[in-house]
Amino acid sequence: MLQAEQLTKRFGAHLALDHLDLDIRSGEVYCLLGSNGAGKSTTINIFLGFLPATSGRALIDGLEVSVNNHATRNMVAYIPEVVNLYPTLTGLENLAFFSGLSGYAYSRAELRSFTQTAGLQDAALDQRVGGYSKGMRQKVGIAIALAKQAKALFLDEPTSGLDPHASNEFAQVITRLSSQGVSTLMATHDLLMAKNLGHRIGIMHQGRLQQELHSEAVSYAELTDCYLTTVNQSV
Amino acid sequence: MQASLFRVLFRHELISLYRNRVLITLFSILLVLLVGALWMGSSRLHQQQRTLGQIRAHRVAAQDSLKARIRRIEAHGMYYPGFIWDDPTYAYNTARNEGPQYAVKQPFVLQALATGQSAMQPFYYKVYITRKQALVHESEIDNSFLQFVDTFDFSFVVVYLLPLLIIVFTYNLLSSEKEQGTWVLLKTSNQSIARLLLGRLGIRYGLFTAAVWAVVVPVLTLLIGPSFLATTNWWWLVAFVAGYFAFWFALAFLVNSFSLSSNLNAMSLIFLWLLLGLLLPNLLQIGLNRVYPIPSRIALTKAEREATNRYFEKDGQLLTKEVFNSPRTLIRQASIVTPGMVYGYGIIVSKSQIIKDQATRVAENNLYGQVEKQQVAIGQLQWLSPALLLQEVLATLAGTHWHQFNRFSRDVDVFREHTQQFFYPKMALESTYRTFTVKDADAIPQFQSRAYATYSGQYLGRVLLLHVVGVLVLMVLGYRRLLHASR
Repeated sequence: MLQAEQLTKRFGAHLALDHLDLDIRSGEVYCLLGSNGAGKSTTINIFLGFLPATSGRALIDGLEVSVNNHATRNMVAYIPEVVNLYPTLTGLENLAFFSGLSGYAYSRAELRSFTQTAGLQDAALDQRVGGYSKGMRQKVGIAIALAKQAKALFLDEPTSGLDPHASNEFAQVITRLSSQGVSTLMATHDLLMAKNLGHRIGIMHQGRLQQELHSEAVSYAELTDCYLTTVNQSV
Repeated sequence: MQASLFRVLFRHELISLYRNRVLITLFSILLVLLVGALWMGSSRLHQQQRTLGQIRAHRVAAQDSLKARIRRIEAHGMYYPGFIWDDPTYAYNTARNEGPQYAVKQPFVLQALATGQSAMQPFYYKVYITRKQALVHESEIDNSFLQFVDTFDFSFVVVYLLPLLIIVFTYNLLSSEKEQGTWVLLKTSNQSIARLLLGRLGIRYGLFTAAVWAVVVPVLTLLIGPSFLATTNWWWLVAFVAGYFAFWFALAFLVNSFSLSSNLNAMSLIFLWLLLGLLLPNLLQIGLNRVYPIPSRIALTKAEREATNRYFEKDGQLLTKEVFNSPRTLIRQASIVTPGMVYGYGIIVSKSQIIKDQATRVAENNLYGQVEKQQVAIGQLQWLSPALLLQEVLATLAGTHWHQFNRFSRDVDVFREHTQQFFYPKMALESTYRTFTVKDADAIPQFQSRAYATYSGQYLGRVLLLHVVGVLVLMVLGYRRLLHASR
């Protein structure tokens, strides 16, 4: 579903992404670990079409992002570390707007079903987003992804700053989406979340994918060791 | 089910604008100002219409009185019991007393929208054989408040104030998305940013324009009646104002396309407003005043006085002596005023007036010629500033432009010549001196008022088309920049 072929990105002299190869199947959750500046967000930004690759290709469902940007954007949803929404609009109005932009017109009941799936309480639906907590905004972000009927989900530090309960709820939703065939590429610093949620885990360092692990095959302690060994390579 | 982009954006814009308290407050204030401006303009129009009504009534009364007096004199064997200088059967007396007619420039109904030069230029004159007199009717100065705020009208609000509101409406269309972070979600929708921004701008333009007319049309109907809706000028005005609003929206679109911060966008647009609305028109006026300096009206009066002096010092001496010493007129010798004396004064006045008029015409042509040259230059350079362009067009459509008052003034000069041509031969008839009859009273020339619709529909259409092309150019430039930036 998601493929990176020799994906490279340079910012001037700085090599942010160095010949990355990835192949993420439908329904698979792939977690990218790595210290700041390792190239995780750059990878996501190239898949989303926010950044052009210097060389190599990013493909979504077989379509090259740089060539078919319009078509590939239709298939993806993105949840950044902080989901920013229109503060004067209610959660439901934000959801209706962003799903409408993607060409979907839903009834209130349908929109409500998305927010329920995302775990947002009904009482919050008609409140303005300006008063939402970070977790509630993340849930609206997920509801937008559900409403868009996205085939691929890109998450950039999605649980950063969330309380454990909210993180757990978030993980449950991602697992549910995964079971429905949605591929997920998640950049995170949360090793435990990566271990519990991801099918595969990639550890990046200085723009390169240094390690790739199956989460079932490693314990949390082994993952931590592996991560620390990788990111401390050049220290 | 597929959602139409327009419907999605329209709903979004409506909710966002409705919940933006700052914008709603500003918009409400400006709408109140707009209503105030319409009231000011309509008050001035009503005031002029009242004055013209009084003039009409006065003219009819004066004409009836003149004819009644002549009939009475004729019925009593040409006996006039009053002072000889008031005897209306002398053409010279009537030319001075009841003969002078009013020349009137009928205001357009749309004058309520653009005061233009109507606050400064006379819209009626009393026309004597010797002069055209600009009067201020008593009722015109009874409302000092109107005199004080005479330029605060619909055109002022539209040309200068509403662009500021448009700037508030549009300066952060794109930058706010970036600054509040919603840009990211927009970019992952399957709509291009350029298309989204264009759609939102178009909807805001439509809402803004509709809101303005939704206030103006009913308020104006209440103030001056619905007749303006049936005039062609009104629809031209609607089109030009819509075009002007479109220009500011298009400019904001272009500025937004540079992806600057909201602060920089706002500053850039305010600078452009100052440049196009105030700086350029003023610089243009200063430059044109240097190229085509306008002689003062004092110079005009001076030229007239000098011509009179010259006349009395040279040519007039002979005529005066002839008339004064003539046995017919006996002005010098007379201890009482004789009929010949009245005739003689008429001769002196008419002959000297011809010479004074010739001298004054040179000075007047110089004054109005310079004004016209300035106007022609402004007409050619108005493209530099849409604010200037709209101001010129609104004044023209409202009938309050400089060149319309100029033409009226010149028409009044021609009318004065007709009046002179009517009275002079009768004043010069020597057979009885008392030559003026009821039939003559009915034949006194009346000023034929004209519409002064100085722009043709073709010209206005061409100006509007060029305006639309300008707007499209701005939009295309902005759209291309956005497409390029979002790649």
